[in-house]
Amino acid sequence: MLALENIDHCYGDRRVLHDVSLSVARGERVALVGGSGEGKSTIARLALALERPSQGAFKLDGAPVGRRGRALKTFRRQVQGVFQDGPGAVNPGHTIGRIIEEPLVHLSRHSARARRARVEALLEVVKLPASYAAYLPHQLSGGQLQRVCLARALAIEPAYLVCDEATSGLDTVLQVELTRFLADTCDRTGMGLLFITHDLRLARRLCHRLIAIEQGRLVDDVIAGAAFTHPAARALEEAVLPLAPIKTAAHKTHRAPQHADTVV
Amino acid sequence: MSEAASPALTRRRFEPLWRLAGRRLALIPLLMLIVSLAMFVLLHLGRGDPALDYLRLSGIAPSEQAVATVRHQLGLDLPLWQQYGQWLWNALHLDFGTSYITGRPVLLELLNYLPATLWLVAVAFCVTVVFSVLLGVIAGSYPERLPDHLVRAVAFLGVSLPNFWLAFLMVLVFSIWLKWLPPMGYGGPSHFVLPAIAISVMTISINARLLRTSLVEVAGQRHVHYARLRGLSPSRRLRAHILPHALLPLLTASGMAIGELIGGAFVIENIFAWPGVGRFAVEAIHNRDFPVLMCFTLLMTLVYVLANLSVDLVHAWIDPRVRRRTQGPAPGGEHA
Repeated sequence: MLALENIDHCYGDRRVLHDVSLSVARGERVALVGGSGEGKSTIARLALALERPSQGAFKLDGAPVGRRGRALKTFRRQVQGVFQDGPGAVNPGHTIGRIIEEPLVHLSRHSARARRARVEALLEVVKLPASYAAYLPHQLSGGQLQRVCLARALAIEPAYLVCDEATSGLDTVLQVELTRFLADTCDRTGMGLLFITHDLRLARRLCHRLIAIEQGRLVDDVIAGAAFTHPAARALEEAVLPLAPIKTAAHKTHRAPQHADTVV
Repeated sequence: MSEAASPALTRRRFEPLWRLAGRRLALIPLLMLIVSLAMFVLLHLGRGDPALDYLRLSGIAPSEQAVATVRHQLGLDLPLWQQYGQWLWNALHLDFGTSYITGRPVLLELLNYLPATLWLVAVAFCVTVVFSVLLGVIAGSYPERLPDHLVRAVAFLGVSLPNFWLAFLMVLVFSIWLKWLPPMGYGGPSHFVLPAIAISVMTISINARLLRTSLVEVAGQRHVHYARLRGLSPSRRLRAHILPHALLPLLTASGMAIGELIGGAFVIENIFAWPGVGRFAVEAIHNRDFPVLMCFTLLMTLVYVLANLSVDLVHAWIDPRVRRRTQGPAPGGEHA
């Protein structure tokens, strides 16, 4: 279990998280929802050990997460992340193949041949042609790069995945496809998912549990089908437009001739 | 990736480099023509008569008849366009005339002195690159901390010191007081130390600060921050994600640095009695030795252009985005 316990976090004098406790079990899909500037991304960085909490405990499977060296590397093998900005999250000078291969080089013991095979398999999983391995990031679209980031995060088959607004920059069809892919992956591999988003509709569609955050405090925690009880969380729900039916098949048919390569 | 090793991809990788090199090399004759014309006009716009200098250097009294004879011999009595045409025709046959001072063919004379200068500039360039990267990385790895402040102080001192003054100072300290290094002359490796350092200190100071700024900027980019997720140590992040991007501005600056180093070499060669083209050229300027100056300018232009071309090719080779700019359409996406 990936657990943040009684976390307080400050940037200088500014306290951005107040007594946050949150956990994600293996195979569980948890959504953290809230508006902009409420502290969602801070929680993502803490959950990925990119920052250390000012106060509180951060544990993986009951043990505190190591700060450096082998202990931290063990944590990295188990927890990976995907962020909103695909183009900004990849090295512009590396080929797509090298980008996806990087965690395999540093966090696994695959041979070069096995790594190449894995990269090709991952590209196939995220519905990109294997030939894209030789291309550079600026030659791909934002949506394609987002899938490259997802492939990179999944390369070492982590036990937990943190997605911080990973679908925000994508069009609706791609969002649905990506969330469906994430759900399938979680079910298939038992991967735990912390899905951070401001899109309540996607959160409800994808996750088992929804946690609402407001001004650095977790204010509500409900199962996917249930309505929020906290006024701030309810306000978030009321702001969402009625959910339109998603005609995935029709969209696929419509998009296929122009963007055949982008359809997952 | 597997494709990286395939012949097709190797060809694809180097094709743009050949194309870039070919395009730039093809422009060199035009560039030389423009430079030679400009130089020719500038030399003839200057005051003084080369015929008088020729007579003075030959130890002949400058009588009216002697001047007229020499002017005729040197072709100085012809209209300017004819003089240039004649010079150009001869130059195309690699005949750049004879030096007024030595009376020997100019090209042979310059090629005789050129290796010493090129060696000095090459050593100075290596010193510049090594110390620029070293100091820049130290400063950029510890921004706003003691190593950064120290490097910045050294760099500030470096850009403030004129190279000729630094040269005299180093001769005083290392040659006269400590007797570690020879004060002048051309010979073994020890002779290179003082002139190479004197030439390169200013460029090192500028480049180290440039690299420091570039490193700090690249280190702050998101992809570098997120690289920690993949278990990369700080040194690996520096090598794989920061340095390749941070070095690009330094590489561009190196092209200009070559010009600065060549310019610096002319001054320093005179201080250290270095038998390079710099000293020869300075003498030629004093004596209005037109054939030497014309040939020297063209030779230096060629060296400068070729050095810059090499820098551009290295740039294109290091940064795949530059390489692929000349390739066909991207496979897909709005960034294409």
